[in-house]
Amino acid sequence: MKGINLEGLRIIGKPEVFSKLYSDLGADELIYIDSVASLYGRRNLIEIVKRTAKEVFIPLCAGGGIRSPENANEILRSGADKISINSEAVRKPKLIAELSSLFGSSTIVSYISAKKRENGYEVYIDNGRERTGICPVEWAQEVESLGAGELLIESIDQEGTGLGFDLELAEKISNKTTIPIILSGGAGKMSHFLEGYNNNFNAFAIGSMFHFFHMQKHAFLNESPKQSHYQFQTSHFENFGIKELKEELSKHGVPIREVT
Amino acid sequence: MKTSITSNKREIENSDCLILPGVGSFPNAINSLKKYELFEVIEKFVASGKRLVGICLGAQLLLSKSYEFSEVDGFGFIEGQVESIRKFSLLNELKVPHIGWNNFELKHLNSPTFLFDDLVHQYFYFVHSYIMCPTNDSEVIGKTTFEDVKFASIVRKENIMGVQFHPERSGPSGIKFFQNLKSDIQSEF
Repeated sequence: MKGINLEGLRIIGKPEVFSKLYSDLGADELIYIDSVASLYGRRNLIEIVKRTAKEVFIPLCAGGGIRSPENANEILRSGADKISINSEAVRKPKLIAELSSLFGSSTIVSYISAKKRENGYEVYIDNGRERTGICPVEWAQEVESLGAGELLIESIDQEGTGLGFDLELAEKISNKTTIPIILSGGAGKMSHFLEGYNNNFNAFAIGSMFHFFHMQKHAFLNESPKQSHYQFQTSHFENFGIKELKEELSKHGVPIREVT
Repeated sequence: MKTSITSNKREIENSDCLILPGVGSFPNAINSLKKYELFEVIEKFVASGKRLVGICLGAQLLLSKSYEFSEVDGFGFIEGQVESIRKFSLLNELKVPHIGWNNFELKHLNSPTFLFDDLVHQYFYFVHSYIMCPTNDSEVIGKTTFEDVKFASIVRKENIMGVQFHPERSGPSGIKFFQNLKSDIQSEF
């Protein structure tokens, strides 16, 4: 499913079909976020994780609607290596500590979704629908102390736009934390990654940019019966697939795993 | 070749090769192995000369002891300890866990390293905050560099081997690792 700024969500295809292709082409990790889990339940995600884990042998992170250790355990048992958690952790921070002590901190990815407002950044939950009044930098420090092993930092302003990562938000958080960061929201051009890399970021989550490229190139991705028309901000995306982007970054001296 | 995931003692005893995986913490893993009475089963398995391969925490368990949370004894098949990666870095801003894809360099090329010969410079997936620090450098056959820390990523002593990375999550290079292991086991028959 894709939207822009987390809004106007449309189905674009079957996650496991995209996953298999992306993994074959050299994706380093897959992240599934069931953005509407709280509305429609979580069973769907578990089935998708199961089907994916059978065919894909790279790390898989899954989240959306996790409310308890039981929910987390079920997703991990289905074949996910890590779980991401946002809304419920904000409502009940102790959940992070609980999950971390049960499954190990490197299994727990704290997904922080933030938006820039007049007086600074603010954490949003429920797929960008609810404001929290919380500062993402303070929240990141708190989840680190509670035992999260990794941060998935998403800029709602940039999400789906292809206009570049919000490095200001990322820098603010990175300066105050000591766990690894995955940057999300805004990937569109090669230069966005070089800029991120030169600012000491080395993990990027990419949705629209790859979906746009690969859906044009691989017809079978478009075979979902429920698929509706999604309008990519086409002019904002450079034409890079996973392989192509990695080759180009490697040429620019970025150490990166390439699949031949 | 038949493979299975098991905690059954008889099945373990009857296997030709044992893979000891591990996610979680060192004290929890040792306690669980003891609780299910598998600690001694694994010790006997190793004494019989059959292959044991440890992955990530499973590799760390092969060493004498760990300082994760508190000092806890491991199997001690490989002399040495498990310590926080931070202890070896001079960087204030080191981001731990070490999560992501990295490669290794092979040491002591005179010793048998056939499982890895075609995997040098290939990327493998790592996720860990602690590292293996074997006392004898001769038991370290692969080393990996993360920021300013160079650590043992492959250890080997006789029939025992441990890898800090996750071959089961390392795409094509991980699959190649398991294929090499399989050929190695089958070559004995």
